[in-house]
Amino acid sequence: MRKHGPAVWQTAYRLLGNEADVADCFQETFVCAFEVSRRQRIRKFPALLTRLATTRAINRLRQRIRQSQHRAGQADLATLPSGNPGPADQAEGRELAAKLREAIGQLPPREAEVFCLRCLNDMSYRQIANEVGIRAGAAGVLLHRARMRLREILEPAAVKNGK
Amino acid sequence: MKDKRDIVDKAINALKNEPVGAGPPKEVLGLVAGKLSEAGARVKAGASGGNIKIFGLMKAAVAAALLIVAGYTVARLTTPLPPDTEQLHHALESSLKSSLTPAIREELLEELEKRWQLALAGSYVQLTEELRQQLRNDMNEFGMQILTASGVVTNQRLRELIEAVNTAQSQERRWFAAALGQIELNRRVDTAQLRNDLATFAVQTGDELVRTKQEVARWVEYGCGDISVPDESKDFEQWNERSRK
Repeated sequence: MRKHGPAVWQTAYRLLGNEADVADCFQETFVCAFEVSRRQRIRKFPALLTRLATTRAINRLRQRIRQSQHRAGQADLATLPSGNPGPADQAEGRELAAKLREAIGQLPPREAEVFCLRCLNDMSYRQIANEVGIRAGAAGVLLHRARMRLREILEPAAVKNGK
Repeated sequence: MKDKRDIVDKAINALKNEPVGAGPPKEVLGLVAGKLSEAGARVKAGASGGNIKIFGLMKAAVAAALLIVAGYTVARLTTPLPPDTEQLHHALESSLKSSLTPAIREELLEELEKRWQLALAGSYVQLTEELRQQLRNDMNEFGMQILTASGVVTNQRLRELIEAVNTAQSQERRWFAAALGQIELNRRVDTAQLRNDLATFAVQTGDELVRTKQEVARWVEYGCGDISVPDESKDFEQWNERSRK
């Protein structure tokens, strides 16, 4: 946990941007990894932890969006508050990052997982395929679809914000 | 398109570049460690329960194995005796013989007949061709022999003819030679005869001349007187004797 903890924290924080959620995700990740290690032999622990953290974070994101939608009706990305509301949430990058988080939460779970593993954790297609249990070609297709959907989601928000 | 691509990449870069923090706080680490310890304790407890389960499974497996063995033994003991294969074999054989043999025989005969006919039909043409070929070869050979023999006989006949011609020519030559000889002989004989005749004629002519002279002399004598006339008759007789010799 000491060795792989920082990487797991980073992965979860990137997606959730909220320490409370990240701590929960962190805990769930290691407990789940422990359960998995009991059932089967783990060859690459870091990859497993990354995947578990990503999956858990995405689930939390989706949960967050559902809660937001329930509270505020139709979710409007442009007006949706970021996960980590801070006083200095003015910079374009932060806003964009927040929008991206939310957009990831709207993706189908498998696409969101592949997208995060590839674009945020820089895993190769083969690594993703091995961890997720699909072929490398299928991973490429999922990534492409995720990017298309994210573009569709992010563009209107950008236009609305005057981009 | 470039802008559209950029927005996703921009968002990814923005997300990556966001400050994350050093790592999990100690409280979180402690909490997670506690959770993991609890999970480990649960696992150990589950393991013992698991051992009990495994023992129960083993008991069930042993019971199943015993049951299988018992069942097998009972089955082996209660199986009926195997039938007498020889008797069965004989019975089957006799029944099969009685029922199947005539039919099989008939079928075999038909099959054989068909095959023979096929074989004969197939070989008929071949035989005919072979016979024709053989006949052709024999005729050619005979013709060659005939030609050779006739050539020999012809040569022989020609030789005989030549010999006959030569013989005939030789005979003719002999005849000619004989004829010429005979002619020569006759010529000689005739010549001798002529000589003799001439001699005789000369003698007779001389005698006649002498007589004539004598007569003439007598006439003359009667007419002229006594004229002496030489006696030429003696000279003439001596000449005849010399010629006869």
